[in-house]
Amino acid sequence: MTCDAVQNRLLALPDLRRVPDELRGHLDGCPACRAFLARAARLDGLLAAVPVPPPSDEAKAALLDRVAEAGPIIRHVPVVPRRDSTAVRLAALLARNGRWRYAAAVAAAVLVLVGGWLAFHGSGPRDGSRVAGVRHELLRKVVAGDVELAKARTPQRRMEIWTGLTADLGDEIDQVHKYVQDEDLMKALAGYFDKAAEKGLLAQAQLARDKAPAADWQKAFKAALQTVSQVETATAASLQTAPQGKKPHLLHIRDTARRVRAELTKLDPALAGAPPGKGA
Amino acid sequence: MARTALTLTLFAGLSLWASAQGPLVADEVHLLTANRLLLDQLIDRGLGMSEVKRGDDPLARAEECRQAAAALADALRAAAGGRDPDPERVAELSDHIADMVNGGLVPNLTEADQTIPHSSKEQRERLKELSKQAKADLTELGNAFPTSGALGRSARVAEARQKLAGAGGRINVPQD
Repeated sequence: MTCDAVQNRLLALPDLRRVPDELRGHLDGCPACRAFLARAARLDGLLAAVPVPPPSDEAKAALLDRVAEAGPIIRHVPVVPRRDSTAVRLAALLARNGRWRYAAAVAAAVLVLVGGWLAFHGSGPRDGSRVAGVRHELLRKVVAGDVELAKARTPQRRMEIWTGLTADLGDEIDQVHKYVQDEDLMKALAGYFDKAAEKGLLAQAQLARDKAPAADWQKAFKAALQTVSQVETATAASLQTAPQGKKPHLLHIRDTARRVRAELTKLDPALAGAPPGKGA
Repeated sequence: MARTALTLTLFAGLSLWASAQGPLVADEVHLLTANRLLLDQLIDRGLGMSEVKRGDDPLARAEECRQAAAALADALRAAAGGRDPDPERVAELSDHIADMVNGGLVPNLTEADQTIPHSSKEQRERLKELSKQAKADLTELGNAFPTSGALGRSARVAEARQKLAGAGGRINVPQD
């Protein structure tokens, strides 16, 4: 053991009068370290003799105020991971093996799978079907349609409103049918479409046919025909890829759209571009 | 290195896309589920307003509007009640009720009041009864709002309550 090491250990002792045996052996053969111990012991004695003023509450408060004046002394306490923690061990392992890239790719893949699962299967009702902060656009459109119908005074105007609602429902069915798991909900959507297209749009078109001014009729008729044709085409396309459970409802919607288109065409074959007497 | 960066970018992009697309459609399905019955009732009320005889009768149209508002009010009570009330849905449905009353019910009641002759006692009585009933519906609905908890603290709900009170104030009960 060198003299420096011995002297450092002497300074670290809580009581210089009690020197451990392993240091004592060195001290017995080393006059320099014995002299160092004597000086240190003397200094200890002198320090112990220095008078210390009694603690005062005011002085303590003043000191704390002075310290606190400049704001918190420790602004951020860093959290040092335990060296034996799982995360540290895993990070070290990945870094050592150069596998962090694969770990990141696996994490991203998990995110994709979770997102995909939410998109395709996470559509069941949750906690009373609440969707925080999201308003239902279709509900808004149906309410607005009812308000407009309450103001409408002619079959042609009502026909236009039902055409809009039929288009909205067709869009809704096209947008959500892949994600609807509940068969009753698909049935309900098909029911809404039936009512809007057949009892609403077609019924008002039949009333408007002979009452509306020609120019207004042409405009309303073309919009109605285009709307049901679009729903028919979109639903027919959806049928190609739809699972078996949804096909009956999509077929029903397509058939309703087809039937309404045929009936509309009968109302005004010339305007529909069909030969007289040919409905569909 | 470039291949790794490309792979990570692709996965991250797919993650973002899945996160952005999925919830929107899922939310729509949840909303459809929540509003399934309400949508059906509202479409039926619209058909009622479009019927040949009722379409030309302001009193009949007003009755359909009141029933549409009542269907919305039932949904609102469900959203406001229970252990976990939903302030945003309460506000949404209140807006719809106010729209239905202000845009559909009140104009038709006014038209009925102006067009039904005072000699038509039965029609006038129907108009008076319907107006009173619609006004009472809105007052009762406003009183049903909790004044404490999440709904009581919500500024949106307070605004919605005022809208309903305003809509109720626009309903004029004929005094003849």
